[in-house]
Amino acid sequence: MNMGHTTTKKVRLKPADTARLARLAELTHSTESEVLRQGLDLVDQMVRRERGIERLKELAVIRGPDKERYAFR
Amino acid sequence: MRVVLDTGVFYHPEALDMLRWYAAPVVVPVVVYAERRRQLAKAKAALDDFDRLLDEIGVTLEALGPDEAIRFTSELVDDRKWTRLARDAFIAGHVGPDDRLFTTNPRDFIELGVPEKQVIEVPAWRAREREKIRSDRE
Repeated sequence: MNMGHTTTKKVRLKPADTARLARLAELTHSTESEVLRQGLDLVDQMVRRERGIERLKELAVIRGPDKERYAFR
Repeated sequence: MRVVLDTGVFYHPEALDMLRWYAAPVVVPVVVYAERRRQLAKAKAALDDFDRLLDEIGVTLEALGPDEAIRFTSELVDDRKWTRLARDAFIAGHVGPDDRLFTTNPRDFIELGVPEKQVIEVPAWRAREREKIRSDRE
């Protein structure tokens, strides 16, 4: 994989998290760095989803006609 | 597994909140996209905002292809049923065997033949209320 320019950073982890990181890297046949990168992607996706959902909720006051609206039966 | 959204999900903050807890990909069928965009247009809301928000929450807009179009429409031969259920049938076409459909309108989708276990009624309190009425009757 071409990583382009990379930076080495210290990450502070508890022993249990260190073991978990190593285990996940082994399970996914990748590296600890790759697991951390995937974790970053997931957190990024989660934050974007959270923010988007909050804004979509503001639009929820706009409703559709009856067929598209909930009809209690 | 994917989560497929029906249009009514967008009217319910509680239902939208449920999306936080699903790591599964979220799919919006183009028919739902068109319905919701039309409602927002009618209310003079900013349509670009809606598109950007869908992108932000990582939703996939799924086109209606031949497979989706015919999955639940071939049996819909009665004209009155067709008028009532055609759009739901096009939406249901996106629900694959492992997917879950979030909808405020479970009855029509089950009538179309979507397996009940794949239909998740939202918001959840409505499903509980319906269940309570059913058990009170029995």
